[in-house]
Amino acid sequence: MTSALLALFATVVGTVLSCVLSCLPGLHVYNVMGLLVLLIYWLADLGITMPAEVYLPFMSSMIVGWSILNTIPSMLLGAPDESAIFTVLPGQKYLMMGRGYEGTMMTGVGSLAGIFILVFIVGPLAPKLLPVVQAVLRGHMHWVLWVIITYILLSEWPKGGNSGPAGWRKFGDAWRSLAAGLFTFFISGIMGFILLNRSPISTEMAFQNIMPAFVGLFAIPWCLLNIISGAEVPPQHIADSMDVDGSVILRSSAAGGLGGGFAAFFPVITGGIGGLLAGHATAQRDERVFIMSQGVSKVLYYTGAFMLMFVPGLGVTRGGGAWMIKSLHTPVGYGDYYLIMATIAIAGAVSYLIMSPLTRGVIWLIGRYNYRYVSAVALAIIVLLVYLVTSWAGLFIMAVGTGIGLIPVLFASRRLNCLGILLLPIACNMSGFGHKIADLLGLI
Amino acid sequence: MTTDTLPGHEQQPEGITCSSCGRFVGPLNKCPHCGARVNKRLSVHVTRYAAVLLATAGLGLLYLYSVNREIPTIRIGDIKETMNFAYVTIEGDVTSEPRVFKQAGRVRSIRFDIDDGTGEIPVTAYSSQAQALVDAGKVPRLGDRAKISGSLSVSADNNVLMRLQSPAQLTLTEPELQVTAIADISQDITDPSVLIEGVITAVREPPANSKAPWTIVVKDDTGEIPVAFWQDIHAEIEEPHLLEAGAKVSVRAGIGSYRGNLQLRMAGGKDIEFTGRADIRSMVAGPGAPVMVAQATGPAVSTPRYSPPAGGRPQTESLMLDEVTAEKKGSRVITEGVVREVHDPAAGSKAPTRIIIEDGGTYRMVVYWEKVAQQIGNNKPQVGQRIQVRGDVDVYRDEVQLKVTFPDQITILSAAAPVAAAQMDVDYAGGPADLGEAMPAGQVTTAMEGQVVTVQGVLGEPESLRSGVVYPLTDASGTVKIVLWDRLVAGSARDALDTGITVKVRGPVKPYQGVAQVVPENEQGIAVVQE
Repeated sequence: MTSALLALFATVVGTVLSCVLSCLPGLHVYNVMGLLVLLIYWLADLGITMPAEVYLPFMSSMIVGWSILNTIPSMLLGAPDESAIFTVLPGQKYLMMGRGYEGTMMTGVGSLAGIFILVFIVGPLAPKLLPVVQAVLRGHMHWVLWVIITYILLSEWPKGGNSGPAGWRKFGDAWRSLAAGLFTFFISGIMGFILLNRSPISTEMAFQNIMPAFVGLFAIPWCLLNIISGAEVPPQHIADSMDVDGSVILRSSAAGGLGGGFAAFFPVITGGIGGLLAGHATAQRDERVFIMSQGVSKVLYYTGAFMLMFVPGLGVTRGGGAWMIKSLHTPVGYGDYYLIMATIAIAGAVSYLIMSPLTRGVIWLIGRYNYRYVSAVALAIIVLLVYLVTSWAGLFIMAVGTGIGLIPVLFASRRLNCLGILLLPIACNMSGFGHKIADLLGLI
Repeated sequence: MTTDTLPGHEQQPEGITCSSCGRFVGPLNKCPHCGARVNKRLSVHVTRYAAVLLATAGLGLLYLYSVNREIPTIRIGDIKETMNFAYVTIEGDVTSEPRVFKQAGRVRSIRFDIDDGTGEIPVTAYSSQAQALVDAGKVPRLGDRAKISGSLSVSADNNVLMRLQSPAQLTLTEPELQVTAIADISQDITDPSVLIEGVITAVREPPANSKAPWTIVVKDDTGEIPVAFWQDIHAEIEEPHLLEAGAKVSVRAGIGSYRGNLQLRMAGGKDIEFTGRADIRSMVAGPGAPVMVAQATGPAVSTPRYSPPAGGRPQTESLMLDEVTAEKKGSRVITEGVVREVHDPAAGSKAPTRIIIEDGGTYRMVVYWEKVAQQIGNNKPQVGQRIQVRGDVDVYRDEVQLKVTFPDQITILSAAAPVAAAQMDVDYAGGPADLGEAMPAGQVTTAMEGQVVTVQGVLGEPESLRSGVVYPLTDASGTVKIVLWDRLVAGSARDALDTGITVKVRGPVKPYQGVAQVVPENEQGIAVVQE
């Protein structure tokens, strides 16, 4: 009973902490989790062992809370992580129309639907179904990954070349963003090969090898853009109702569930890719469905991927959070599974209840203060975190990542292309020739 | 002085009118009317290409920085949880016979253990890397010195694994072995493998369709000993037709035991070298009771049993504790003392267990690592007990210590000792009968979770796990999976098992993915019934 109360307390505290984290644009929950993991090791060295009943619910509730509440800066501050990239356009439209609160709450409803899917559908079925699915798909992951890479690259559309006389100039105009996208993907891929084979990060902190690169690719460019952009946020209307009905919720759940679930289960695939695939596959035109499905997708991706680690008999590790926990704890049987399911349900409910007042608070904040300052503070915190965990080598990697991450922003191509950092080397490794490419590059 | 500009010139944005004549010039850099150069503002679009250039240059620098940086060499004992995914180099000795897992003729993985003196970890190469190792003849052998670079996988419960990413990053050095007289071979030899020279006196070929191993008997002037090897190793022997009685051979093999008798185990086809022929009838019988076997094939020929010779070279020196000094470094000694302190390593640490013993005011440290600690289990020496230690003298940080590599090297002498550690046996001390009566394998179900059962049957094709191996065990009633975890079953015990041999296994039933599995809790839970 004491353990249960301890777990409940840790869940609530973790969720409340995620409120603070999620309101800082660009700050990823995994960055903070990395620091917490180090803290747990440090305490262990001092002879203080933190029980799993504390850190498991604490960290999982942080993931749940962040995956739900991070919608607020995504929608209101225009600083999404890469998995929320598709929320921005319709979201910004809502924001500019003064409906930012409504858009945020719609995404929150989608997130709540995602929690329902996890707890009431995935939870009971996963131990029976997922091991079978995994056994069937295990030998096919590599070519599925290549198909997805091909799809990402081929589905990018030209952003220019629509007018003017035919010729090289028009051709170049049309191909500028496409070429930038391809360039970003391959240059990110090479960076991935370097970091996976010869990372300059100290071996003592190798578990955070990729973190500075991700911060550079995704977080820093958005913070920089927020700081230098001159967009004014119009006054926001706090609505008492939302323009959604049962049909919208169902369609959003189906689309988001498909994308987020796919991303959670397949290695390397992120929520952004899942959202892209789901959006295209279901061909949803309704922007309400679009916004809400991103809430579903994001929760299923982050929380679902973490949950998979605890599914009895499955034995897969997906997502940065699960990889970090794996070094602390080996899940055993249904006890841990029920603990995580309980945490997801409680943290999901608490997060949704916090969402409305937190959104109002952020709206008040950006009405009173220039949100560029918030972005500047977030940027400072992120850089400090990277330095604390990975030192100067990490800052160097972060700087290179920032340069690459700015390319799609400046050339209006998809930021998803930055995921080449993982997609390309891991697809090559899974296909059995990654080491040959690394050898060709002189890395091994 | 006034300037001659057109009306409204002042209001026009800079860059689209001529700063000299004031006429509209649009995007042109030179005024078409007066020929003056027109100053343009720097286009934001241009800065985009600067970003591309910067990113490319940064990546280039990162690449140069990375390739010019040595892959860090670390000690196994220093591996920490935060080193997950670290790409490192480890140098050490191969301490287990590498296992090659195949499926449908393709090599799926290769696995072996490496020990650098501070600890031991398993190394695994998967699919294409494993196949490349086999193709290049770079599968390590027991006792080889290996330098390996690869990626560490560190998870909870001190579960560490190194993944070899490229065959080029495995460098092997064969140990320079001196020829060992057969009479001198015993479990006391600390080297993982020995080199013997002699004449084959018997060859036992496994029956057709059997997966039992080959056995040859090698004899020298001091005795004789059986040497076993699997059929795939037989296929690697360059001149297998020379494998017959009377052939002079030089054999490199690991030391093991089978049913309580010493046995050498060959790990590769290159480990045997044919050096000529001898007439075995003319050989003088050695102390090992010679066995005259002509072309011995088939079940009619029995494997000669090895008898320990009298007067063999002493391997271990018996010393008082104060005689165990730094000068004895590298030698194996037997000594005694009273346990004064016992220090267990911190959870998750790769450090050894340290026991301080004292005798006549002299203190020495005895160290052993996790594998030995697991095998010792509850029989760990306690403070106040007098123990006898057989170990290798080493000096670590200017301190003399005794390294223990097998649990039976520690014997508790005091009467209060709960169980003498010397009674333990890392090999198969217990016979099949000790494991109790076997139940039908087909009747082991998930409903029996936690129950300890005994099953007997033939082992099928093994499947490599991250930290162990799974064998299907089949009897007349069906099949049940046997899971041998590295942390529970010693490598020497796992290496003795292979497809086709009949074993008896005892352990608790643990369901996994809806399938019942029997998981022996130590090597005493496994007994070979028939090879």
